[in-house]
Amino acid sequence: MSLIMRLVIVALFSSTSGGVSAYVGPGAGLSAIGSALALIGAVIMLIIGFLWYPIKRYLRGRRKKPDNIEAVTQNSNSEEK
Amino acid sequence: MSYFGAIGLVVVFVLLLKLTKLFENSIKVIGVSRVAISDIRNPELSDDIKEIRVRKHAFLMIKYFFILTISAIVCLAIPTGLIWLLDYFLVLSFENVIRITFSVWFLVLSCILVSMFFWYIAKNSKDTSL
Repeated sequence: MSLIMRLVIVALFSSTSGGVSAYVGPGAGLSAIGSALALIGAVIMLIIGFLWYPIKRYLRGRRKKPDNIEAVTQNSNSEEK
Repeated sequence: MSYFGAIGLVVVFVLLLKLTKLFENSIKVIGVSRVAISDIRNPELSDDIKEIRVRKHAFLMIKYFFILTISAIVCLAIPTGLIWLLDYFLVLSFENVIRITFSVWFLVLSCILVSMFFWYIAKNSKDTSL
């Protein structure tokens, strides 16, 4: 979509829309964005920190276990020989 | 009188914004999230270290969320409360002040002036830090 077409669409919507009582100034807007970002970021970090890494560690541990068992059995077999 | 009330409302709001360091804290949140993302994507760090750091960043972001929310409530509630008190003591009309504050010309003018004020402060602080 060309720039002129975009400008025409914006102008059309701007001219047809009525007044809305939804003003957010720069101060309140920035603080709202900041607090929303902090909340969303905190939730994502909490999920990663408290769920993702422990689950990853657990899965890695489970994958390593069979190898360890094989290594132990191999060692014991060689010792017996 | 209502015009003075509207101007006072904006001035007290801006002063409280500066006092509570709302802008600085909002920018800090962006910084913390950037550091957290770079920590997660850092291949040199082990998963254990990443886990500890991500948890630390999560608690820091929760702290900033509460700081920002409480500061924003304080910044909005104190000037509005003052206007309400003045209305209670029949000094000015609360409804008139709010009507003027939400009028288009006042919003545009106050936005420009407040932006210029913060730009001037930011410029001065950069000059003094050099």
